Amino acid sequence: MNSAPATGIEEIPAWLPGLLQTCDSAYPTGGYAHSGGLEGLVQAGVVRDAASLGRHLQEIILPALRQVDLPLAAQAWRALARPDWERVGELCFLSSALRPARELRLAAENTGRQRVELLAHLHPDSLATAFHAEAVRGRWPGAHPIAAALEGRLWGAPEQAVLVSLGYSTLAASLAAAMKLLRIGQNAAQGLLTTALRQLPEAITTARQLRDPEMGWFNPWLEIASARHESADHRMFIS
Amino acid sequence: MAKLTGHLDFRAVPRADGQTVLKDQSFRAPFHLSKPYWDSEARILIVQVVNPTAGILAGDELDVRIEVERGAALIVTTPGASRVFTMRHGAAVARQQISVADGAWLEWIPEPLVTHRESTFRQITRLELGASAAVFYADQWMPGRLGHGEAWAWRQLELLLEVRQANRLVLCERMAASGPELRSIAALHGSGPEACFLNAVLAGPALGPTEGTWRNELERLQQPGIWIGVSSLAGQAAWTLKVVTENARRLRETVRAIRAALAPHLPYLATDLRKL
Amino acid sequence: MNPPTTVCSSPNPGRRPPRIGIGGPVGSGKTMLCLRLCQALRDRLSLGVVTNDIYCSEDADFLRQQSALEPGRILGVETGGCPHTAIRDDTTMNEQACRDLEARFPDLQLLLVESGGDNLTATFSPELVDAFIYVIDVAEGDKMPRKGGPAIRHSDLLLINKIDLAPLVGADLDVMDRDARRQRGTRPFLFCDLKRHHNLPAVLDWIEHHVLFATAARAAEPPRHG
Repeated sequence: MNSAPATGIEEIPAWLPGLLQTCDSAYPTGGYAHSGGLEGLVQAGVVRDAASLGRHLQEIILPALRQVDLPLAAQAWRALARPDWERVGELCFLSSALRPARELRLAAENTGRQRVELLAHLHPDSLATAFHAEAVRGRWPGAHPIAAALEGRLWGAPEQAVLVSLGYSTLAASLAAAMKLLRIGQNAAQGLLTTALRQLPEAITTARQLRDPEMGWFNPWLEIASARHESADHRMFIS
Repeated sequence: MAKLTGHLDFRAVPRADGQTVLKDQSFRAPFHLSKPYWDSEARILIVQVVNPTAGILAGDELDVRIEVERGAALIVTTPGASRVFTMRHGAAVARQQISVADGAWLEWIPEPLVTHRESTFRQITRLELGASAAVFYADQWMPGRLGHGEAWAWRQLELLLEVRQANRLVLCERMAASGPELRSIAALHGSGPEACFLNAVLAGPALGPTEGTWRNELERLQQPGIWIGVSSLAGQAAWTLKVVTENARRLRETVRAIRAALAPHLPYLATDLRKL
Repeated sequence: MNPPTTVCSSPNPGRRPPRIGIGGPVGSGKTMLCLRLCQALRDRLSLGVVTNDIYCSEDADFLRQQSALEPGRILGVETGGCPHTAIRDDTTMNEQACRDLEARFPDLQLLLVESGGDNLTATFSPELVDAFIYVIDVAEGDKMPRKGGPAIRHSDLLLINKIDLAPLVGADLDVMDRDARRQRGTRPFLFCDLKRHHNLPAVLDWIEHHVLFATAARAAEPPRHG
């Protein structure tokens, strides 16, 4: 068997380290304080073990990624090429309108705003500072997937890589929250993540083809659980 | 049966004496407007939209354009469920453009949508609200002809709801699923094989800038077999209200209870919808 | 009490009201310290409090019920079960809550940020707060100061609370005093019983001189160049 040739550092895309940074749990965006509605569904008894968590990932998280966050990030990545600020602002407002439940909307807005502020701090005099100025001027709501597209543009990452990074972060964050909410071990959680990651490319392929009117995902149970979580007496997560 | 391109257009405007009347009304099958009823006690106009063909068929294209002007108060409902019949091929589409001006009231509460086996239906609703417009917009749907033991058998159902308040997009919701897909999600969430839905938008200055006691009153309606949640939208004094019930009877009861709970805050909701 | 050291390491002193982080294990008296500070300072300073609870809004509710401040000046923050992260590694949630209060009350003169109950390794990010008080109590055992750790060693002020319980739990305050000196060097620490106001004036004095005065002095300094 031939061994694989040694990989020179020049063959590694320059954007890869940057996207690894943004996916790291130490990247300070406040994501750890959100469960994306999972805590509400656990309180409602819908997600209660590894099996129901697996179905939640398959039937709720992945379709929501495919229909909302991934297409928004793809459209934003394209709009940031020139950049077309009017279109970017429109996508920020659309990102909020696609999230009826207040907690889920504020989570995407606050995390998005934090990411852009951090990017403007880390990359002075860049597309990030211009984005930040436009967002303040246009009173754009923060938008987590749009911020992910901005991160990709800053590092020169291709669209697919940005979507992989966003999809991975979302799935990993869901499982990190699940481990605090359910009695599920770390290896079982990684097993569910591995399964979900295998399905991510298909979701990305679909998401890249969606037009604005085709975006959106409706899950009344998640919305109801999230709405009721707003006034829950006991909770670990903001959303 | 030949496909229909129907439309329903009108404006609801207040007369000098304050009574709401319809202006510029125009409709074409499958829509039919029966004579509107002026409830002189509640001071609101009730419009029943009748579908003389009894349902929506493949190829049908339905356009609704309704304007509710300042000072007008209007209820739009239907006498019975809106049925989307089995389609061997093709699809039906309904486009609804509804605008409610500042100082106007609209309650939009048609009976539930019932999608039959192998039907494909797309409904696009655009709701334009003035900054101080007041509405109770409610879509209800059932998973099929439950009385015939048919559920979750439609091919594709797509319900798009866009709400703009003072020209800002505050809600963009898109339910797009095949029957089996939604059945699977309903099962995951424990709502049973006959789950029914209500998706509503509430708006109006009378509800206050933040959620008041009315929200607690609505959320107290939750019990085994009824799931209900209220959350504020991105706009001013606008909320989403979502309900899932385990069957159609409980949906009907819950809608009645919601109207009663909100009536002290939105008095028009105390109006009798004049149905048997 | 050991000689004081200068605190206030904020990167932007003077551009925001000073913030004091209050950390310590669950039940050590962090919320009581917040209450006592609010009661003592609210008539002469515009105050705000951010509390971090692990699983409920117990601390924020307690402060509101005790009328520590008007309700709008007290914000509770959920930390996703990560109290250390929320005060040290990724302070986004607390930073947003602080900014929210600062925006709502532009006259704010002091912000208290109470952590959600943590262990001896927890410290506050210097980007979040200007000074950090760590609260332990004698009921956790007189070995606590000896255990050391970043919070015991490096907090700007260490409070050893509930000394009235020492005879009841068999805690030797002399041992705690000796170990605290050994761990902290010149950094200050105080024995107190906050419920009964014992040594509260010394805590207030420390805040006055080493947080409020130091911050004001820094703000008054001309900007440095180069």
